[in-house]
Amino acid sequence: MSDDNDDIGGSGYSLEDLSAYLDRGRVPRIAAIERNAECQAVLASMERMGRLSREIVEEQAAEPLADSWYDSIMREVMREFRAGRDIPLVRAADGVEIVVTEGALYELIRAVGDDVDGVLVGRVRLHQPEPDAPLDVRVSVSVRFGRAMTPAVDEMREGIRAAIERHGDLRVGRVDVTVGDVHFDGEEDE
Amino acid sequence: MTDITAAALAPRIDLAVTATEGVREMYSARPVVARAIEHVVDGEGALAAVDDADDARSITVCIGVSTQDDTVAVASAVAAAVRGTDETTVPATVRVRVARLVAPAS
Repeated sequence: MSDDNDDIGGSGYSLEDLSAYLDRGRVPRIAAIERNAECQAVLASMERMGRLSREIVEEQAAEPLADSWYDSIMREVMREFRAGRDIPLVRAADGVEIVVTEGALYELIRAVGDDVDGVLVGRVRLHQPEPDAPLDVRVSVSVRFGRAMTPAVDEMREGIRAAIERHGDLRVGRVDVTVGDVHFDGEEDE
Repeated sequence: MTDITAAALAPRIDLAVTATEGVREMYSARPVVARAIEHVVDGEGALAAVDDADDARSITVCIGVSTQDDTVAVASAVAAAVRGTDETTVPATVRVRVARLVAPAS
């Protein structure tokens, strides 16, 4: 078990603990992890990253993602899920309030990146200058060598806007996508 | 002050929420301290948080919804289901917290 500084979502478990839990097939079941949204989101990110790395190795017989890339992305994921602000989706007059967490939006944005060919999402930032203002999104990505950057960035930008705005009253302001790196996995676009 | 105690109501809410169409997952909405105690005693309490204070009841539930679903529609259905579990006349606020937007498995 971890100390308080490494604790994910108040679960009492650290990133290393979750990694070990995933490695042993999530058995025996740990309720504090399975019932915790932040832990589940981090586990999902680990699974995505693991799948991606395996695909690159198996399909292209290429170098896997560098450990530094994996580590930096997981650090970002951890940071994002600690930024747990709630953003109103709907305020009804009957005492019902529906909110979405920032962490859920971060995960959504990363899922958009997963669906864009040749893009790996690095850092994600959300900024809402004032309550009810549109959300500004800043994303840094790595683009696969040979993939045309402009269409990749456009696809990412449009995907983020559409993904967020389909949820309640959420509106998106600026979407800045920065290509901060290029990676190789042996498959180039035509 | 209430016909149903908070402790008795919370498990009912869990059942109602998990039975609501579109809810992919339900997570603990209880305060960190309560979760930490559960962890120490290796117990599993209810996932819903029900708090009675000043003659008012506040209920919080935490859910995951598919990115393919209408989040507001699902969360509204959850709120209605939660309301349906509490037959008391105590004014209650219901907070539905969407903590994950889960992409469908590829």
